[in-house]
Amino acid sequence: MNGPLRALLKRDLALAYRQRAELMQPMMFFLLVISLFPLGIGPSPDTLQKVGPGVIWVAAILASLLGMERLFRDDYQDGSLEQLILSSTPLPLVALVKVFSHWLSSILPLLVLSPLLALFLNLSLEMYWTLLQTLLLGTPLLSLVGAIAVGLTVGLNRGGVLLALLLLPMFIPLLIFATSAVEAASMQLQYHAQLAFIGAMLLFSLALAPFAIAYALRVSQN
Amino acid sequence: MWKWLHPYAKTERAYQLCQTLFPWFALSALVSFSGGLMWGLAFAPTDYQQGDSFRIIYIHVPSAILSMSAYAAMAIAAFIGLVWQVRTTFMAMMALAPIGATITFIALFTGAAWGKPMWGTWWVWDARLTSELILLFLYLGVISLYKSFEDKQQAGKAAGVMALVGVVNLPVIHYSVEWWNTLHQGATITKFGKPSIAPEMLWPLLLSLLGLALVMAAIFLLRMQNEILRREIHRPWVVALVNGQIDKTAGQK
Amino acid sequence: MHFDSWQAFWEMGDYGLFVWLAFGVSLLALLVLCIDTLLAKRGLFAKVQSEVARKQRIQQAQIAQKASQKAAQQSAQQSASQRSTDMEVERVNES
Repeated sequence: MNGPLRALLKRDLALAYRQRAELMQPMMFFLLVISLFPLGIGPSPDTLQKVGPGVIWVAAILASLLGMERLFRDDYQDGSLEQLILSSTPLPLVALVKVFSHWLSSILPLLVLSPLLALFLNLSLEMYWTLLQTLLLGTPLLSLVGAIAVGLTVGLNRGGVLLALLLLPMFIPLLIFATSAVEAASMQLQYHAQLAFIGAMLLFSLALAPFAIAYALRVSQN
Repeated sequence: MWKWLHPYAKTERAYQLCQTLFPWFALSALVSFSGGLMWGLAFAPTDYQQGDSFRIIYIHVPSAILSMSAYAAMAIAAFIGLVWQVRTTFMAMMALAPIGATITFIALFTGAAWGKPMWGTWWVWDARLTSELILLFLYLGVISLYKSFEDKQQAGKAAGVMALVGVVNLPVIHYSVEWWNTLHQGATITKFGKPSIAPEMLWPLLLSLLGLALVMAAIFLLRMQNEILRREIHRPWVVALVNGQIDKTAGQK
Repeated sequence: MHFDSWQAFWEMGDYGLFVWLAFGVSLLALLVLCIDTLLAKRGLFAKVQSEVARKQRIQQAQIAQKASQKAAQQSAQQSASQRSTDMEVERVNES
């Protein structure tokens, strides 16, 4: 990795570290939503195990949506995004680095939290292991696709709900494949096909999304 | 071909083209759509399995097909607009979006009304109904993204990017939902299979498909004119046009 | 005609409610879309008209203002009743 991009990554991580309190919020939200479910549908271990993967994934999508706005908002407001667009470093690479640092700082903590949630929802070890794999493959996809919409809405004052409206339909395939992988694992079936699908989507978006994000940022910056 | 098309990138010419095309489209739409529906409702034979409830097919299937193709058309318009920087295509895109959303709603509603007598419930998480619902969400997303920008030039570009991302995602969504459905649906839905449809039933279906497409085209022409007017409201040609229209109506009185 | 009577046509072999509900709501939705389009068009035309009218008013006000300014200059040379015309000019400016 060359100089400017590394500097950008360092800067973003440092900024994220200084805003720890804000980073905690999606994690708390994640935890809270998941603990609402046993209260809502009853604590029977069988039921929880049945809905567990879906609940965790839906909660993860919602929590990542909450933190998503942070991706470009601060940079847009203090004008450093404009500097990044004007710089000689290719914007798609810049966008990729920003998405990566955002994933490291605000989505990885959710993954760290996941063993606790697996306990809450009575997932077996096999299911948890699959869940972790789908989360590892799937959440970067969330960040990449989400960043396109964040790039488009960053100039709007109240983009929060709009962001959800734009992104939730896009995440449906991911949700379907991820939960069905965990379900397959719970029935001792093969689940590599689902993982392969998620991986394919991840690679596809890794190839195309940076360009879309770069274009979206240019549109927003006008 | 490009030379021939180029003048229509100018809004005034596009407006006039819509104006001249509209009566033809409106007339043929009225004839073929009402003809197709009437034929389907009153003259086509009854389905031996589903009785007369199958007649909903004459609105459900055309709207379902056209809801998808309207999204594809929107994405094509967005693509042309983003690549060649043609402003009129963004207007076309935004003229199409509400029409597509309405058609998608129709497909959903008629699907539900068909499901009630056939499956016993208004809504099942059938693969096609589900992906149609997601399609509606995609339409609404594009429309609300466009509406939330003040600067309409920027809004067009943003909505265009979203439409393109949606169209890339649409096949993935469609097939994933289909796959999910085969995984989850047991024997609750008796699949009717796909028996080859009798020609007496097929012809009215094709006619109403054509009719609905023409209806959409006619509404599109009107909405396109509106979009052009909305963007160009301060241009002299618009003022001249409006004044001319008033003089004409005054002359008629 | 496939049906024997109008009665049978409306009943649709006991599926009348669903068939007519589906068709009714569909046509209603299309109708609403058409009406919305036409109303929007009318609104846009009205907007252009009011814009034109506003421009004309501005133009007339500017002409009136120039005339009154001229009158003010003349009256300043001629008499001492300057204050009242100044106020007039201001009033025109405000409007």
